[in-house]
Amino acid sequence: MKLEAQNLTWSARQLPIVSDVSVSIKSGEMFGLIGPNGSGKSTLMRMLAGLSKPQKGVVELDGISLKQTSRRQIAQKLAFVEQQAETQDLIKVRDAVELGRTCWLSAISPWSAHDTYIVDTALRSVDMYHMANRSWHTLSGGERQRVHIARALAQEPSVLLLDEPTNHLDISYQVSILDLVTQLDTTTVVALHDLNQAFKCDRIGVMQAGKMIAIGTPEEILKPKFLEEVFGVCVHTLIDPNNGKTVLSFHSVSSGREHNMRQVI
Amino acid sequence: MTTTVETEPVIQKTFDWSRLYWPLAGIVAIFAAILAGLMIGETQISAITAFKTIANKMWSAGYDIDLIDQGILWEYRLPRAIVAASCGAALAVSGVVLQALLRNALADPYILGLSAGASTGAVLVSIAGFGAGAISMSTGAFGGAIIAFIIVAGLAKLASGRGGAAQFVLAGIAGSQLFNALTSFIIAKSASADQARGIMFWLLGNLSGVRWFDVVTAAPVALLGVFIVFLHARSLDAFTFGTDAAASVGVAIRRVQITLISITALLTAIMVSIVGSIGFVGLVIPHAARYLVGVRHKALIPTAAIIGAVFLVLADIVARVIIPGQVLPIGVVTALVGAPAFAIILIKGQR
Repeated sequence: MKLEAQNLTWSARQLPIVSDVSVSIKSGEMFGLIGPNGSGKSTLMRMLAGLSKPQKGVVELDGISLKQTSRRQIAQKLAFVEQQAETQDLIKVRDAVELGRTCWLSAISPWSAHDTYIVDTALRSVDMYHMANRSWHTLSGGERQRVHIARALAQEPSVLLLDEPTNHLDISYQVSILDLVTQLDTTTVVALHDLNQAFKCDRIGVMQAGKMIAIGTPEEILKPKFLEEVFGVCVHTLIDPNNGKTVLSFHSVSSGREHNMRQVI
Repeated sequence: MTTTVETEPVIQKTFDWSRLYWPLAGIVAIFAAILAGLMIGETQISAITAFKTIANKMWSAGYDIDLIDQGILWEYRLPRAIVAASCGAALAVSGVVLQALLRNALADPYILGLSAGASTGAVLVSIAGFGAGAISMSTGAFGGAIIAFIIVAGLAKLASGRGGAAQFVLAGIAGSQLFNALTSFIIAKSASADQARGIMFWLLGNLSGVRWFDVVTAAPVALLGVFIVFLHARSLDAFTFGTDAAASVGVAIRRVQITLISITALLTAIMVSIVGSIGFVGLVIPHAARYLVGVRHKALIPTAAIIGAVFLVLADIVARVIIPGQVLPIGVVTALVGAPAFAIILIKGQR
């Protein structure tokens, strides 16, 4: 399913957060969104998910505007995983994943064996099936994030939006969650803060000060010169001797200068 | 990703009769509590007399029983017990709804400013003489509750950016303070000592004036309210991770919030206008129910309704018999039981 945004604009108290962003995400694509803190990634994600109404512009799912679609219909097509949604309730893992079925259920079509099957499948695909009866508050951050992804998968979405899914997680969970997301067949938009993780995307969009300043393949975008301009750090590329893939290395601008100075001396 | 392809299991749909056990047990518990409410009091009346009275009144069975007993049962204790049960169920379910929607474990129906507004309305009518006798105290209380709610909701709306739930709690506190101050002002300005004592009783909850007329309002309103809330059980579950998460799984959050908060406000306003403001039921019963059946609203809503109903009928019995020859305000009983119960829940919840 195709996800298209045209001229999205959103500002808070006259301060533009996202201005005039247009992007077209192809069916089945994994699209990465990168940019410094405060560049408007999360706000853009919320508009793409239909949670914030754009002050200008439209978001279309397969050509149909989200404005003309009910919350329930949106949820049947598009699932959104927020950054670290938390709860105080004594809820179980299975309960949390079952919430994903909300958009498919009604008084006329109550919970059925089919729903249980979907929830089981979602739990298995994030490798949390064996923990289905664990309490939410006993889970680690990585496990909670996997449960949120399972909840999103239980919606059987065609489009999956993830806002920094690996934020604050141990490195092992970062790798496993990103691998999981890469393997999904759905159209995926993922906001990332680790630029090395962005290599796994099909295409990358770069946000800076509320604008989408570049869209392209990882090879086109993840170049030291360009990243230095956007993020204000020194970037070097290294080659991983194990698999020959490019890896980015970062230094602060001042230490980079120091380094050059030393070379001069 | 699992590599094995699992085929979807085909499960024969048969009705599981054991699912009826708990609802039936709940209904039996309510009837048992009401029966206890009929039997226990200043004069003890046997269960057989109680059944005979009901048969006489409902089917003109013509049993020969003491007319005074029959009068006490039918005109006084039965309406009182039914209103107590309705009120308990309504307040408990309102508490469940508000704790879920506002995501605040300390939310109770009075956080919307309803109780404070009702008090102001009641003292305006009974003490300040508002309406010149044309409106009753309960009408005044109902009006006050609704006005307070509209002010609190308006304030919450004006103050809300994205954190609407937190704003509601703060707006409720502000509104409650304002109306409580107004109530105190009116009492201080114009009440005699006797009036002040009377209003004090009313503010702490009082079922003494309850008659059949009140049953006709309270019982259908409570049943309908609980039923509508029950229909929204799945939506309420979805609020577990906040309003954004609820919207993400397909809940029309605005519509659900407005519908359910309005129903809660209406339920509470009607109950407060009949019996005064009875504290702790809306706060403690939802927690007790969660302790028994967990956080899923499909089980939580009926459980809270049943426990609330039974608890308030029993609390009323205690209020009537604990001091011989005197009826305690029921709010005193619910607070005396509720506060320690809440403490226990808090401590157990930590473990």
